[in-house]
Amino acid sequence: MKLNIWKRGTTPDVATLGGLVANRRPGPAQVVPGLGMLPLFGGAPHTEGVYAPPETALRLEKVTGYGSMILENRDLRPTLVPLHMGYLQKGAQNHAMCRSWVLEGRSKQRFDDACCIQAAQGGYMKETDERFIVLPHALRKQAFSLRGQKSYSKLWSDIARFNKGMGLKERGHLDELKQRRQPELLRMTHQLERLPGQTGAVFLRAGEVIGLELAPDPEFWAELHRPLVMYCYGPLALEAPDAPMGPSLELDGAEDLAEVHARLVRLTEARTAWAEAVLAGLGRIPLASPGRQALGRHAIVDVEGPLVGQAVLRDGAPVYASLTRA
Amino acid sequence: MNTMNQLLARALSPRPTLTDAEHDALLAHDRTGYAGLLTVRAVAAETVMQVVLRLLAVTDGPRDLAREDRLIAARLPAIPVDVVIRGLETLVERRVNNQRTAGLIRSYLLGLPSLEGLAVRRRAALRRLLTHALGRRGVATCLAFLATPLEALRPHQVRYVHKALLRYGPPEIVTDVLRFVFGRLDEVHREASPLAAYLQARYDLKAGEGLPYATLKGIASTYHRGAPKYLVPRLAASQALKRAVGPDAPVDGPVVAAMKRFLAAPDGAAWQAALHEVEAEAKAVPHLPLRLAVVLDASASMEGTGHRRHHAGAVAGAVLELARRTAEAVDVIRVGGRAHEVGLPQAEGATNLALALVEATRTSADGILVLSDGYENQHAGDAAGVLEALARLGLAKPLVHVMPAFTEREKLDGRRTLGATPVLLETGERGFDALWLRLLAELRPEALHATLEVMS
Repeated sequence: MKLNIWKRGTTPDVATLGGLVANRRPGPAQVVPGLGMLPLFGGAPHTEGVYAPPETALRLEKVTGYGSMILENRDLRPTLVPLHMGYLQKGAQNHAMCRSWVLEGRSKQRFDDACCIQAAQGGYMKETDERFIVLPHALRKQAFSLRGQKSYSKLWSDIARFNKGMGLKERGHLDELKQRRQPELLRMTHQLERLPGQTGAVFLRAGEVIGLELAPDPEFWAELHRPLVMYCYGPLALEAPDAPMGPSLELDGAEDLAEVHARLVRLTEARTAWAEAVLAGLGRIPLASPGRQALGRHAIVDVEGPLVGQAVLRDGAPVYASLTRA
Repeated sequence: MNTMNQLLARALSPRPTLTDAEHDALLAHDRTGYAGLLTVRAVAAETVMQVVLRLLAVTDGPRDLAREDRLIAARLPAIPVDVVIRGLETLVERRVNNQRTAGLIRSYLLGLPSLEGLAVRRRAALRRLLTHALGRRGVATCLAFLATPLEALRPHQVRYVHKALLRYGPPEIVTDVLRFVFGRLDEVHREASPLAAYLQARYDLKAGEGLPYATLKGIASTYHRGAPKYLVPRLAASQALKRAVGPDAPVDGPVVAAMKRFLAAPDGAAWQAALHEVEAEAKAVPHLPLRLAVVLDASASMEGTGHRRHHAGAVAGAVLELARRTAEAVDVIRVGGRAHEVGLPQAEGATNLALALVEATRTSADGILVLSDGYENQHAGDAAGVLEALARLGLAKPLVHVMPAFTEREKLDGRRTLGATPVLLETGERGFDALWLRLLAELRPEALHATLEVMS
C-alpha cells in the first residue's frame, strides 16, 4: 500500500460549524463599542503559503457589461476570491461579487452574476486600484441569495435601504458609504487590530456571533482583515453601540495596587475562557449545505442555517469561509 | 494646576483657545513669561499674533523692550502672512500707533519677500496699514517724492523716503508697491512681477494667469464682464490647502522624518540618524525635572496606513527618545509591538492599556506619559476603569496622554480612552518645545513660569 502523506478526500462536517473551525483556536478578544472580534489562529494543515493573498494577486481586468466582471489572478499560486468582494471606482459602475471562487495561478475568470453597486452611473470599470471592499454585513444575505441571477440592478433597492439606515442618501450607490463615513470606517480598522499569525475571526455584536471569517493562512488574512473590518462589519458599529460583551472589569472593593493587578490578570483568564466557549458554541450551530461545486481539488460549499455564506474546501479540509448571520 | 498655569498650558496649544480677557490676564500676571510664548515653535499663529499685539499695545509697567523686539522679529516671519495682516489690522482698529508699532508695520510689510503678491491680493489692507504706519501726510509726501526717479530727488528728499520706506526692502519694489497700492502705478518693467500681471490683466485677462482667484475675479468683474465663467478658475493660481504627505514631506520636522525613515526600513544606520536628530531637538526643549513612566503603545494601529503610515509610531518614538534625554529617569512599559534589534519596536498586536497603566503606577515614577493613538480594544473602557479605581484608592499618579496626530485638526472621537486625563495632540511638525512645556504644566506646574522666562 502506498503511504498517503498528503491525505485527501476527507468529507467535511458541515452539519455544524464545528467542522469549519476544527483546526482554529481563539486569541484574546478585542471589544470596542458596537463590535467585538475574536481572532482565530491556525488552519487546515499544509495550506500555509499555498494561496496568493487576494489584494496582491487579484485584479479586476474589466467589466464587460453591467453585472459581468472579469477577475485575473496575477500570481503563480492559486488564490481565493473572497465572498462578496467588490471594487469602487469613480466615474464607472462599481461592482461586487455574489460568490466566492478559486482562481488558479495566472488565470482569468468571467463572472456574469455580479451586482452593480452604483445605480444610475454609466461607464464600465477597468483596471481599478487593487484595494477591494467586502459588501456590508446588512447586504450579504441578500447578495448571497442572488448568486446565479443575471440582473445588474438586483441589489440597488437593498443598498438604498442600507444607506437610509446609515443616515446616507437613499439610493443604490454603495460608494455613499465610503464617501460619507470613510473616516469612521477607517478608525474601525485601527480599533479592531490584526494580530500576528491571525488567520480568521469571529465577529460579535451584543454577545452574539454575527460572522465567521476564515482565511487559509496569516498572509491571506493580512489582506482580508481591512476590507472586512472596514466595510463589512465596521458599519454595524456605526449604528447604536451595544452592551459590553464578555466578562467585564470589576474593581470595586480592591484595596491596593496588587489586588487591582491580580484582578486584571484574572479578568484576562476569564476572557480567554469566554473566547474558547464562544468558539466551542459555534460547533453546536447546525448548518445545511444545499449546494456544492467541485473545482479540481477544491469544492465551494454553500452554507445555510443561522449563518449563511460559502466555504472553500481543499481536499475536503476547509481553507476559507465567510459566513454571516442570516 | 493654578489658573495662570492652566491659561499658559492652553496658550501652548497648537490651536488658538484663549479669549481676549485670558490673554490680558496672562500679560498682566507675568509679562516676561507671556512674551516667552513667542519662543515656542508650535504655538498657534493666532496666539502668537495676540501676544505680539499686546506687547505692542500695552506700554505701562516694566518691560524688557530689547528682548520683546528680538522675540517678535524672530517669530513673525515664521507665521502665515494673512494671520499677521489680520493682527496688524486689529492694531489699526484699536488705534494703536506708537512709534514701535508703526516701525513694526513698516518693517514687516515692506521687507516681505512676497510683498508684490501681497499687494495684488490684499491691496486695501495694505493701503490701510501703510496709511496707519506713515500717516496720511507721510503717504502723500512719499508718493509725491517717488513720482520722480530717485536720482532726480534732492538729498533731503532721498533721506526722507529712505527713512520712511526704502530702507526696509528693495527700493524699486517698495516704490512700485506704494504707488500701486495708492493707485499711482500704470506700468512695471520687471518680468514675472505680480504687479505687472495685475496691470496687464486689466486689458487682457489671460495676462493675469497665476494671480489669486479672488484677485482675478475682481479684475474680470470690473474690466472683462463678458469673459466666460470658466476662465478665471482656469487661470487662477491653485491653492494647496492640504498637508504635504510622504516620508520626506518637509512639514514633518526633522525628528519625525528621521523616525519614519527608520520605521520604514529599520537598521542601525537609520536609527543612528534618528538619534542624531533627537539629540539636536533635545537641546531646544526644556529639562523635565521628574522621573517618568512611559506607556508606549506599539500595537498594530500605531503603524497607520496610506499617507499616515508610520506617522504615529514616529511621533511616539520621538517623544520617547526626547524624554529619555530630558527627564531624570524613564521607565518604558510597552503595549503590543515586536522588538527590532535596535530602535523602536515594530507595531503589531492589540492594545491592552489597562494592565500597562497598573504596571506604570507600580514604578517609582513621579508621572505617567501615555503615548498612544487611543484605540483601546482589550477591552475598550478598561483603562478608564483602572484609572477610576486607582484614583479611588489614592494611588493615581499625574498622567498625560500624548496622542500622535497627523494634523492639528485630528478628531478624537472614541479615542479619549483614559477618562478625564488631559490629551495633548502632537504632530511633530514644529518641534517639541510646546509639548514639553505642556507636559511641565501638567506634571510639574510650579516649574512652568520659570522655564518660559528663561526661554529666548
